[in-house]
Amino acid sequence: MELLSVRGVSKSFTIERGIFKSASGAVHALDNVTLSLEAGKTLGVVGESGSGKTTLGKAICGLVTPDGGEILISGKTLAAYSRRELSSKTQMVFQDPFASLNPRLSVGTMLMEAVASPLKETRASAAREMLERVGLPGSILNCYPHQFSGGQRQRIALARVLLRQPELLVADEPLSALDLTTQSQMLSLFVELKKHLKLSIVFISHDIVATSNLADYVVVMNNGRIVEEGETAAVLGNPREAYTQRLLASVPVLY
Amino acid sequence: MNILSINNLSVEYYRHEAVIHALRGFTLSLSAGETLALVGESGCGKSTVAAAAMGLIFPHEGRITEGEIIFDGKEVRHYTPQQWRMIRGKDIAIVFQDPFSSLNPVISVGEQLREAIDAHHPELPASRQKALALEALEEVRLNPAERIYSAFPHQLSGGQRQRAVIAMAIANRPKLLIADEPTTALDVTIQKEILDLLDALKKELSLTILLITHNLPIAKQRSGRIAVMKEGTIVEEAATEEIFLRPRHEYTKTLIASVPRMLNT
Repeated sequence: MELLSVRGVSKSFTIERGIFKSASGAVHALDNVTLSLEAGKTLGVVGESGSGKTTLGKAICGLVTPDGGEILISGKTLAAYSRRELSSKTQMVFQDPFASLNPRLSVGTMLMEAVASPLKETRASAAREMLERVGLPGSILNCYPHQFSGGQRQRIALARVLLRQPELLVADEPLSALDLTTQSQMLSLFVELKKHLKLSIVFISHDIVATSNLADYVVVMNNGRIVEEGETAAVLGNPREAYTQRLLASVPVLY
Repeated sequence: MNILSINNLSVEYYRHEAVIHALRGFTLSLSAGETLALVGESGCGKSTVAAAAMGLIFPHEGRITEGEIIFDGKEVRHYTPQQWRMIRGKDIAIVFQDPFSSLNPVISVGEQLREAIDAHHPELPASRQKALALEALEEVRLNPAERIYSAFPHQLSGGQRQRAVIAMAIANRPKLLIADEPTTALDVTIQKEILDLLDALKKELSLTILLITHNLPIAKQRSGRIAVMKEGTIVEEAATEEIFLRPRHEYTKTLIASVPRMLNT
């Protein structure tokens, strides 16, 4: 069953110049992008800076309105959902766990907000359970973001998102701000969550090697267009397009 | 012959009345002509090593508490700021991670480059300094050099800016080039071009390179020797092949195991 369908989506941003902000040009962040994803699968979106990866992720979550084309989730266009409905369909994890958590709210407040239950005790126990699921102790509900490392914060951000029980998780460079060992732990967590929660994930990353560990399908983006797409093994193991080949040849690998 | 020897160096920083021990008995030597990769995670002290070797630990932020730094046969730890200025940017040069913040946005690239040459060769006439600057731009393959010379940093791409920074670093023919995460802010295709450039310059100018990186695959591809750092000290140091074939220290093993492998292909 097709969970996500992106059909001919385009989005351009105007570049403003001078004190009167006159439009001096346009950047085509997304140029006729079409893709789809089945439930329970992971789609890796790889490409270099400025290729349109993040705009694609935001468009899927309804945070950016495309100029053209349409995005469907479970067969319905994004516009047909209310904000509340959409927030239980798609959720986004961002790159910087220092910016995505409110420094003034305790972990408990942030996580319990995400649980739809009138009972405080139910919300708290759901929050504790989810923290344990992402590899943190359930006892940290009274702590504040500054008490945690980057990796721990990213786990908290992930727990908060998962408590909304989204059908589709859009993760935009969730590993980039983390240290090597933390990255590898976080990647394992994603692999495990994908397996156990049957999550559908759009995994946006410039890290092709990390993506190869998680994604069932990969799209390679460049200048707002999809250059190549297909099963991960095919695209990364046997790339057909010159751009993909060049990209892969540039990636430093250990073995 | 060793171009740089750091022996039992300890550095502390002062932050909010607390003392942070950034280096604890750090010892490392670089012999002339080699590329040594210093690897480790954030906060392990990698950049402090660079700062200490460049005389860039300032009294208001911290100090060297013990140890010695011998550069090109001379003990430089107790150099005065004036003495440091004589060798910094001339015999030792550094390339930082972020080419967006290491260039002055309101001075043309060429003029900054000419200033770098002027700082150590004030006796040369401006026309000669400009000729040397153009030469440096050509050496880092920034073409056409004349156009880049008069461009401002914002008119260049990230990769071009990093090339301009490298041009500035090599303009005075340093013996040692410290590259502190030189490609971390760049895309992979550009990263490869910059690392290829450093490799080429190393041969052309007989440089010694201290490559500071958190990226193990890059360290493996580009260095002859690797030193693994943790909490302000070296935990393991060996020839690059040796480190990956037979890592001895637990931390080295953990780091290597953390590097994701290409799967599904």
